[in-house]
Amino acid sequence: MAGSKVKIWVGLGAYVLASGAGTALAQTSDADYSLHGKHGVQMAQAATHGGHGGEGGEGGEGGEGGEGGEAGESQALAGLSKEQAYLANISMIRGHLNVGNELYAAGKTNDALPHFLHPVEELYGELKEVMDEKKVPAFKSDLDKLSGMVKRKVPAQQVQEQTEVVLTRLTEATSVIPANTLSDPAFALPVVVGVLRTVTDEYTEAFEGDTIANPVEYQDSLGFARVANAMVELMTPALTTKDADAANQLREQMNTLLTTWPAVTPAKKAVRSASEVSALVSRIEFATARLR
Amino acid sequence: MRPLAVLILLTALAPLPASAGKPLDRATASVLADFVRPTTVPYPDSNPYSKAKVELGRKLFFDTALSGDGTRSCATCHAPVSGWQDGVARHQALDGTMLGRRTPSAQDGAWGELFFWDGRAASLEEQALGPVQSVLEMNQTLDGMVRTLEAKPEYSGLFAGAFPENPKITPDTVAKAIATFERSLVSGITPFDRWVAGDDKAISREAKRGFDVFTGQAGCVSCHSGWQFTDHAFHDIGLPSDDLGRGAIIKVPELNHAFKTPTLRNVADRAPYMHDGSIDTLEGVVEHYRSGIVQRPTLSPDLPRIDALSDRDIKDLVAFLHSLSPDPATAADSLTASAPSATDASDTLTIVQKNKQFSERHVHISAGQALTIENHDTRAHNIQVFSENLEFNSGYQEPGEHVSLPFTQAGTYHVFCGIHPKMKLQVDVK
Ligand code: HEC
Ligand code: HEC
Repeated sequence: MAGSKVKIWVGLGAYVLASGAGTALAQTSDADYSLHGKHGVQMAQAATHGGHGGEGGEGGEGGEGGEGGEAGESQALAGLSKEQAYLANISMIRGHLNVGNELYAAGKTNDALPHFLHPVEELYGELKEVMDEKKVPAFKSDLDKLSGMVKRKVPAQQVQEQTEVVLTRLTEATSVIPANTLSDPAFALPVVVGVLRTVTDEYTEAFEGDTIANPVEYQDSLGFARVANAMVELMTPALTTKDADAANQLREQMNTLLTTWPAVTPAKKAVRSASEVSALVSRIEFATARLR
Repeated sequence: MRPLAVLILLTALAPLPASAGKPLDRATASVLADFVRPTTVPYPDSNPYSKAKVELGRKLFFDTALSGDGTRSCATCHAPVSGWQDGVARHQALDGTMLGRRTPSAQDGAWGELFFWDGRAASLEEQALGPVQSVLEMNQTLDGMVRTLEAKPEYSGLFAGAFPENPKITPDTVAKAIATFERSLVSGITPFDRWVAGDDKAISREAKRGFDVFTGQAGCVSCHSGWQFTDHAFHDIGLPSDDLGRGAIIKVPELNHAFKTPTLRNVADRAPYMHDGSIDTLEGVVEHYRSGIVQRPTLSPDLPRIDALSDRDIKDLVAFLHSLSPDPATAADSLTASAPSATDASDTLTIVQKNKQFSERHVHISAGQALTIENHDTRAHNIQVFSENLEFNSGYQEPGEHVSLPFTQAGTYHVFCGIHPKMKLQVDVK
């Protein structure tokens, strides 16, 4: 089982790598971001670039009181540019597929199911506007095929193979954003922060009182945290050039954050409370501020 | 997949509800006489029924102490929510490879003749200790099992209650308790059962036509006979697998590739199919009989040629197979601690899902009662509970399907949808 986890994880890393690495550090993009008070850090709201505040939730099934999926958590992605929100949603699809495959390979096919359905039922819709604009070929049918395979409980090997197909589509979808933008911390770090805020939201949702009652939300937060971490890892050379000390701190804090999830299947008693995770994420936001 | 509704019954099965609708004509009624669901569960004289034995057997069936490394119980593979099997083609073995065959359902075993796909165990008692000692399944020695159980203080009283004349923890008493529990697992009442009992409206016209095809032209009934839809015999139906099945056990080459005819009760909920889990859907199974049979000398002489069946016949046949899944109203899952009697078989609170909401946000029920959740939505849902006393995952719940949740212990439970996280329901059980 450890083997298959590594396999999928490497697959994911490699695709992030393919889209993010090897590109020269470009000059600062003026993509804007804001941090909001909810996460304990209040920073100046920058003027939005391109006029889009990342209302990722609109138009989808999301929004308060609605689906409530991560796509609807427009709060977490507020302040991101359209392209940044697009990238954040793609990253979250990767996060779902990561935990979904780990569960599936472990024989927990029913637990894996939501993680294969969310990408197509919630997140794909969020990509539509940018996909149309940039003429990205549709890949909903690849996602549908994948979730259909999970519903039918085909062997794990086949699910992994179809996951690889979807990951390739995601890489293609990412490649419409210029490589030098993607690798620019000023562009990419706010995406990481947006994803991490979603981590906080999902992790909070996993609780009833003091105990974990919703493993799906717990797993969502894990998958997103892993993808955020992979993005940080890939940016590390660039970040280190900028401010070695801050880059180091950021990585340490990311590693601490990841210890929140000792396993993909939660215990009822959590390692960290939701407010502890929220505080950690706030500290990470601080660390990123120095690096943009 | 819809989790199966299963009733645990004492010695008497719930009688069918008084028939509604118009009675059946006499010709149909006489054909149907072969398919009447029995009203009592047979227990052997050598291991008679007692409630204490069932309860002990239930505890053992769910206890991971039966596996060498403490990670697996019988229910790991024979999971109640998956119809007492596991919903996968082949379960992972302890060494990481795949087991050679699909996990069959553990229910309705009280009527079984020989157990395992190849019939190598002659009774449930004999069968029970097989998986425990299998290196690939549970990898525990019988001594190790007895010692682990002895070390758990709660068991001495339970064994004393179940075997008053010989209150010892031995492989024999463990096997007897598990077998008794398994005999108590009886599949619920299906629309087909109600039709057989005289309710003409219980199943659709397509399903009735499908039954005609099943018993007539397609000849399925020559092997899938009786209320369980099995002749308890072994046949080669021409699947491509290399497994020699019954032939290897009794060393009769004519029976190579022959496997036990599986029951068809609840079949729609038990994909994937066949001893090797090689066929994903019922349509796929029928297509196998129509066009996929591998020609070889060992093919069962009872296998009819059905290449003349029309597409409509096939659709009707599949509709009929769907009528063999239990009703929501009788859907008390067999996790229910106390065996429901005929009257509380309907002791179920029913709520619905619609527009991505539960019809209630908070319900109160009593321990032993079941909660049935019917999907009246246009989309699929996935019912889950992750609580101290109950972990439940319905898998994919299509529109029109229902899920039954057993609540055996008092407490507060949070039910949610894995697909739509805002759908939440609090259940207070007293
Ligand atoms: C690792 C998965 C696994 C575990 C654990 C497991 N089983 Fe099974 N069970 C199977 C498989 C696979 C078969 C079919 C094997 C065959 O036919 O060769 C089977 C067959 C059976 C059958 C025969 C059913 C029939 O219709 O012929 C019964 C009864 C049964 N198991 C009960 C148990 C009991 C009791 C335990 C715990 C002591 C248990 N199983 C543990 C996978 C498992
Ligand atoms: C010759 C006897 C025979 C006939 C006739 C027959 N079956 Fe079967 N059926 C079997 C056997 C034996 C198996 C299991 C084979 C295996 O797994 O190797 C089986 C498996 C199945 C299964 C899969 C059940 C499961 O749990 O895996 C379904 C569904 C089924 N048959 C439906 C039908 C239908 C419908 C017909 C008529 C078109 C039919 N059968 C005719 C013997 C028969």
